[in-house]
Amino acid sequence: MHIQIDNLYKSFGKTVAVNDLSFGFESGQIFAFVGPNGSGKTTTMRIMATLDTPDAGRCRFDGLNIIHYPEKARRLIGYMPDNLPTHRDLTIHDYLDFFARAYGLRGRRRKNMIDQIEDFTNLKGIRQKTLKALSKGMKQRVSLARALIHDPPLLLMDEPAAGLDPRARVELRELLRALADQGKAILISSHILTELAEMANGAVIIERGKLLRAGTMTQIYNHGRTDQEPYQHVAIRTRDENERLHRTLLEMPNVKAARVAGNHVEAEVAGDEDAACELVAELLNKGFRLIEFKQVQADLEKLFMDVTKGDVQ
Amino acid sequence: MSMVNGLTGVASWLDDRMNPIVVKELRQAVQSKFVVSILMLFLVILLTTLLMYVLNTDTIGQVTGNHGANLFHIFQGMLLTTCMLFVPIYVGGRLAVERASTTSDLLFVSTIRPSSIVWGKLLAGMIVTALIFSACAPFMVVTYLLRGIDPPTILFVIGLDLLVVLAAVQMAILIGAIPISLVFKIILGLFLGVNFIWALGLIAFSLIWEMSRWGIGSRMGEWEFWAPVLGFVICWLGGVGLVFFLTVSLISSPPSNRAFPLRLYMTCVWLVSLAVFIYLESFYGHGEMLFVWAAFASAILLTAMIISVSERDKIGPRLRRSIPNNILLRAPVFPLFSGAASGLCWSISMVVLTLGIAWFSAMLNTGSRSFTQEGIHMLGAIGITGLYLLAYAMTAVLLRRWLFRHAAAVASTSAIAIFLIAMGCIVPVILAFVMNPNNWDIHGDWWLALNPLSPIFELDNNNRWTALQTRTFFIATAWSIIMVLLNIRWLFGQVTAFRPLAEEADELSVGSAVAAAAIEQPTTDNTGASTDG
Repeated sequence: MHIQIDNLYKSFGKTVAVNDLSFGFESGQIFAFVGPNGSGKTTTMRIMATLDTPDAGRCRFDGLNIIHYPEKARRLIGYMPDNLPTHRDLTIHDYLDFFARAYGLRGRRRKNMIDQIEDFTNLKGIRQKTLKALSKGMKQRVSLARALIHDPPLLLMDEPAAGLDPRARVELRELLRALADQGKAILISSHILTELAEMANGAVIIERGKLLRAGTMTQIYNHGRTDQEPYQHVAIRTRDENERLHRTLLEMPNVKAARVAGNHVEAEVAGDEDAACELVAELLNKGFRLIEFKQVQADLEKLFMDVTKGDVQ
Repeated sequence: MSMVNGLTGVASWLDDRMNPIVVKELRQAVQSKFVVSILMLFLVILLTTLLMYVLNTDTIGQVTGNHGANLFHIFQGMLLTTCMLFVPIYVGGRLAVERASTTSDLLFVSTIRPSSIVWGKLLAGMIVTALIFSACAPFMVVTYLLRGIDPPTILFVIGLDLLVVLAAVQMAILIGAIPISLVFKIILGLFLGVNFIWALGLIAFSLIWEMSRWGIGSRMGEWEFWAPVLGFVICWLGGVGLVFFLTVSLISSPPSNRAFPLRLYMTCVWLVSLAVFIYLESFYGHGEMLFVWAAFASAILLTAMIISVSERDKIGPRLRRSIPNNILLRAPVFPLFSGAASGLCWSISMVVLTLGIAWFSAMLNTGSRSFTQEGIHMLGAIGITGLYLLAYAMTAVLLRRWLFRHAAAVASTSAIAIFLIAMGCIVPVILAFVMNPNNWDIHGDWWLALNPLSPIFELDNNNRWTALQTRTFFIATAWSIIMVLLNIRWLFGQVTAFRPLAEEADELSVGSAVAAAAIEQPTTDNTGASTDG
């Protein structure tokens, strides 16, 4: 399934919430939806969930324009808003049963689906607990289970990790990975960027409703680079020789950039991993006493800080 | 064994077809301490009342006693009070809270229809009512055993009670569905809902008291008894239905054709009520029935006209995709679609038809000639009021488009119109008083020239036109024509935009197996009808 947003525009009075936003992603991909507070993430997600209509633009799931045909699109969407279930007097099982009925699931199919989802989200043991008795992490699980109850190929998740403890976050991450492996397309907004970077295949970064970056992680990190040559981002720590190391690195032809960052030096080395190995050998030859040499993973948090200005509207 | 299997199959079939909202609401009600507490409290009060009555009455059990009827009225008052107080607050309050949170959003992204949501809430409310009624049933049996009241009367009165509670619950659902904040809903519920509900309760209670004094059971075989009762029940259910569809419109997605079910329903009720009133007119042999019908229908339709100017003036793709391709079909469905021009077209056409039918009936009437003349004058006065309201509505549209283009939303046009009407009624009266405080008499004067109701209230003692009606007729006609002409481009813009959505080949025909399979699944709501398309 291919999800394509084209030139989406939505305003509320004089406030432009979403301004000419375009991006796309596929089944099996987890896309991080990133932006400062008030940047238009929730509005975009609500439009994609058919709860709002845009002033202009198109939103298509496999060619189906969901703005024109919301009833058809609803079966394809599992929407998880940033609020948690509020039905105080319902048990988890009854809550899921209600939404299964609301999606038109009947008879044995409904029962089987609820069983599967309760198993998958590890809710089976507590299915008779009422919603008011649940912790925030458990409510998030219930919310995810509800979004999955009709087996939608697309999941829209607005801040699913907000307020979760570290264990619950790790569990949520594992659930999302399992869902992506099942072939679901997932768009997830969160402010916990380090976690998003670990699980996401791609990202959409917006600010003030406008698109800043969109694409796979590689496309995002390589954005603006004119050469197509691969490069390695490395961090090197020496014993009190960081300044000399910095100067030396800048003189090396295959080092594209270098900077002192705290107690280590960061550098961009042209070439593949062999180039990084050669750099280590060369530095040892030059007499540097290396304490640490590591490849730095792409840093979504840093990229986010670089491309956004923190403007709100 | 096979019978058990068969019954299980039937139960499973029924379970699958139950409205999901009813299932959820009843599960919540069973778990709710509030509902259980109210029910227990109600039973304790009934039991205490019964014991106190029996212990304090010497003549209990005597053949000539009327204790059953007395006790029945007490129990029935308690039952009605409990239901009118508790059930609407419970059902409406629950919906209001759900609308305030994202809970209702989650429903709207499912395939459940807005009408199913409202129907489910209403049905759940009535099942809770039935639960309270059933708790009261043994006490009602006791009233029969104590003599003074017959079972048909008990059943008839309980039936009327159910109708009253039905209206109150539906009204509470409407208030719960209005898209305003929870605080405003509570204020509205207190000021409008409670007054309305109590007015209903008091009227019902007085009516039932009177009817049970006559002895309902003995009259149940007479058509003279059933004709007005059935007329009343039909009108009552018609009113409840109107509020139901109004609620459905309120919770439907704004880009959808939310006015369609409401207008279709109102058109059907208009036809049914016309048939009922024609029958009643022939049954009783009076000539006034259709005038009464025309007055009521016009009041509702003119209110709808004022509301309709708040509807969208741009037709979105969701609406356009359901417009018929056939141009011959397009014209008759135009008034039924959402949109300001459509709403004006529908309400004006219906008012003209209503007044026209009543006038035609008056022409054919063989009854009292003077009465017929009075009726025709009254119809004319209603027509002038309609012209005034049209002029006010179109002036509001003009002001919103020209003066408040950036300040006022389309949805606020009705509020502007109502404000203008209020100003047109109040300001000239104040001016008249300021200019001539010692001899303040505005009747029949130019000071009423902007008051849309003056043509009706200023008819003479014989309900005939005076100079005021002639004057206001010309003012209202000229004003409404000018306003319509000034808004003519806006109106025609909506008419010309009423075209079906051009098929975009790339939007439906291209679709992967995943999407196609998901869409092709049988998408059914509780009614069993497909929700696709």
